[in-house]
Amino acid sequence: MKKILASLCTIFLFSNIVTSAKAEINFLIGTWAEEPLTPFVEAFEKETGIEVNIQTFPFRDLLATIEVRGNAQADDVDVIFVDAPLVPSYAVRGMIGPMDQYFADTSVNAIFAPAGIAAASWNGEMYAPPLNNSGQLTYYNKDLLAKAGCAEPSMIEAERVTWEEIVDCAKKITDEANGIHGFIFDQISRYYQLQALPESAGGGSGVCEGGLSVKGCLTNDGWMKAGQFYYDIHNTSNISPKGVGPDQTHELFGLGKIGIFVGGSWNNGRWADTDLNYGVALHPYFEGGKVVTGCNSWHIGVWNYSKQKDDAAKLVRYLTASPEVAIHYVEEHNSLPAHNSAILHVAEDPKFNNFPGIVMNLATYESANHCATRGRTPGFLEFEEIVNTSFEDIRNGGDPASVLADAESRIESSMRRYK
Amino acid sequence: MNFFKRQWMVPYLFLAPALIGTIAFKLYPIFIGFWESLIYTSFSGGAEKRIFVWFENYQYLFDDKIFWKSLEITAFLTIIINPLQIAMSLGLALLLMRKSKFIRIIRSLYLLPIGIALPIATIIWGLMLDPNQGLINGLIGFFGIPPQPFLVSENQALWCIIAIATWKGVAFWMLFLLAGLEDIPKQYYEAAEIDGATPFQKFRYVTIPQLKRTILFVFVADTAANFVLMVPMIILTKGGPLQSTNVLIYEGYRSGFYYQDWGRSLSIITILTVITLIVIGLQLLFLSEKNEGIKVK
Amino acid sequence: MIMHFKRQWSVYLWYLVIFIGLIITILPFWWGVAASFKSNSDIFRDLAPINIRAFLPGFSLESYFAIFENDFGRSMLNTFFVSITSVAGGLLINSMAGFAFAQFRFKGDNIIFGFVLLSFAVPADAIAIPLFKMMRQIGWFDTFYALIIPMLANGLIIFLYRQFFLGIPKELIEAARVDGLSWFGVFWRICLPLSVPVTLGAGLLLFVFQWESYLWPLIAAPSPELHLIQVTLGRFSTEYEMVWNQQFAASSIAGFLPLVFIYMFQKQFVSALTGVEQK
Repeated sequence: MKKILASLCTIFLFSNIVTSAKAEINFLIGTWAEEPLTPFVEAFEKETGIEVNIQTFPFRDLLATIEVRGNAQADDVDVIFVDAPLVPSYAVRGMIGPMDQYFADTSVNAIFAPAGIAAASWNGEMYAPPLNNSGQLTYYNKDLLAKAGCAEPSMIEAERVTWEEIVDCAKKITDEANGIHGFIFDQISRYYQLQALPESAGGGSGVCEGGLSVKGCLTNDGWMKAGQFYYDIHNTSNISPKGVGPDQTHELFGLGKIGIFVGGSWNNGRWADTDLNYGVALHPYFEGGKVVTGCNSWHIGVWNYSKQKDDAAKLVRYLTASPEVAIHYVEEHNSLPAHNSAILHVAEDPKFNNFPGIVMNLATYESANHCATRGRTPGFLEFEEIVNTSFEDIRNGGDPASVLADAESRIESSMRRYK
Repeated sequence: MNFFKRQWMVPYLFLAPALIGTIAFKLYPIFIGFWESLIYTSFSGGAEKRIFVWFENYQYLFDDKIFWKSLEITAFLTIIINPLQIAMSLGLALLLMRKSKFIRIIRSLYLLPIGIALPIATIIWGLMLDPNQGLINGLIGFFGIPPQPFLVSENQALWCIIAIATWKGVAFWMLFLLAGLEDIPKQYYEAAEIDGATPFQKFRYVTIPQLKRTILFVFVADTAANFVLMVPMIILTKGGPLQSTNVLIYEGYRSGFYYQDWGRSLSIITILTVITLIVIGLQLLFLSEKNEGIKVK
Repeated sequence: MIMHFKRQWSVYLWYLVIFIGLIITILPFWWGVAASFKSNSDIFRDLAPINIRAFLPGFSLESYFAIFENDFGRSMLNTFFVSITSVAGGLLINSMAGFAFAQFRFKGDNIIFGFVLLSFAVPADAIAIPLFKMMRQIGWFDTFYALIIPMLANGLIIFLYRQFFLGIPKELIEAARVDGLSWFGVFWRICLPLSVPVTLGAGLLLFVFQWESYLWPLIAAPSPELHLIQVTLGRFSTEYEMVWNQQFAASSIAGFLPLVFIYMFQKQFVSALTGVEQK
């Protein structure tokens, strides 16, 4: 027994020494990106002779790991995944560095779509170029809509559906006794998706000009209207269920329990193996308001404490600027492109003109024309967390005006650090 | 005491390995954490500045109504959950002392929750407590009770968390109490029976005094564990609805890991640690017996 | 006759209470196991609205195959290695410290004991960052050392042993000393053998600490070769969704193993019981 234990110890401790002996670029990414990126990272290794060690983390853990390593100013990280709205936060805290010099020989505007560049930049410098993008659409259950006698929402800009129309239809669909609700948001109670409400009502992103304050920007008429709307759909008309988390919404829609589902382009193909009879349309807006959808996705940046910044930057450029990577993402992973040639590819390939491929086409259109980049502030981490919990509080019956006022003062006080 | 020339060294030698580990990997990081709670990090003008501000972070907390609300919820949770769990564990342990053909299998089944990690238990309970279609609402509907909002209600969420933590915790603490009960010599009960003691008297005058040391341990350990209970908040409620489950440990956790405000986070953690120490100290003071160990000088 | 009836009645009541308690205890576990044999959409189909199918296992083994492709086996092995080393090392050093606190009064004992209390009053996640920096400085970052060694000394276990050793009659120890046994001999030959149930409890505590630890292994040992079970469990979710059935499959297996440990534990309890009866 002792011998077995001793040899086990040796194996374990030894395997560990072997892995830490190599010198290479450490690349921190999300678990979901390992499969799409690995072939390209291998191609990069072959082409440049630079070795890349991919470390993968689930979403929340990725952010936590980046924070912990940043806090320790660790030099064993070289390239990181950056969630688009966190660019200012990482930039201001010196965790990622500007990258314009590595793109000096080319035109960034020629490679990336404008929304991607906007999200990648802070104070006029580009920090983390975009890997991909996202968009929001309206998915609807054709059978439930027909049963309720609603008109199907449209794919044509001139006939874009309004929130008011959605609520009217959803009321007719909702049948709580049988567990059927007229409407649900995909990423329920998350700022990413709900930002479109106050933006459409003219309330802006919630962050004031300059990104260092929220005073008056979370409690303006647009936000109040959005808050009241969110309150009503969960507490007055009850067209949307409480208690369901963002992990479960698409399952409910897939089971035919939801009439209208406003959600991300990544849902394309998700319900292929169900017998759901569904259609897709443009994102809703408030009647008389602005047309706005959520957008942006993951970016890649060079870790500021890295000792191999040049090699790291080569990897970043290889992955973000190659059309092949972007097109592969579109074709294989239903991920919207931020790269101009992949956007062109979506526009030209005929398979994106028919259902369900048209999801990609519509979402690309929405993202190109109506993208509302999330609030630009170095305090985004706390901003988002507090806004998300506030939406959840409103959903659960909190008074919108006082919840938003509370959120505003909390965020304002935590932003004192950046002023 | 002349058995050993350097008698005074003996206890320290016994202590040394654990003490070195405690100092290096617990006390030193605690000290660093406390030190960091006195520092204010500013990013104004785009550069990181670390300023030593004495107790300013604490002062800031004391002006913050979220902190006070959080403190209130922590106090409420502590007062409810610890006695509840101890009483239930003790009750269950007593129930499981009865002789039965199936006692071993019954005991094993009752210990199931120990094997389920808290995050997964939380996810399962979250689905069962779903306000629309959840199992629990289905069950209470059977008795004619209308569906309850549970985790999405300001008034019920904390109770749901208490239920989840108790489901997980009772089995664990029961195990220690069961071991303690098994340790009580049967003669004591026989003697009490001869004196004509009722079951309650036996419980009061034999079980409780004999179990005192075990109960003290379970009480202290359970209290410490519940002060840092935050997995259900992270997974299910995010401290809501309307901050009704925002206990100090969760507020500290999110101030650090979500808001990146380490000064605030570590101030909260320091305060929580002090509170925990005081509560544990009081428990020891009132429940501990005198230690008549061998004096060495 | 009446006595007999009364006795019967109390037995039935006992069974009723035990049965209700068992249902509450087992139901969530049962549901999780049943769900692990289903596809994700079936899990939700059976929940909305809730019906009896939710508690019948499905027939799909897909989730079990998937988790083992996801390196679940490796993380199980790692967790076993880490848990067993921690239990062995932790039991030894903490029981020694508990012995010192219970058997001796020495200079600074109260202060040192106060520090022991402090060490378990502070939340583990709160010291993760300073500890992380320390691991980097001494070169233990991303090694098994970081997972095991900082977790060995445990104030709670010291306290548990102290409580138990306090109950050992002083006469027993003095007699052994008179017989010429060294202090270590007293500890090793007299006190430890008496403390089988408490050692099992302490072992379970240490085991569960490692079995459930998440944040520390995540930040201290991120390499896939070092992943512990909860870290792997956390990976059964993607950016946009949770892979429910894989979560349940992995936790069914992960939950089963401590149960084996507990079942062994049970046997020990029974022998402890008979030991007392023979006294």
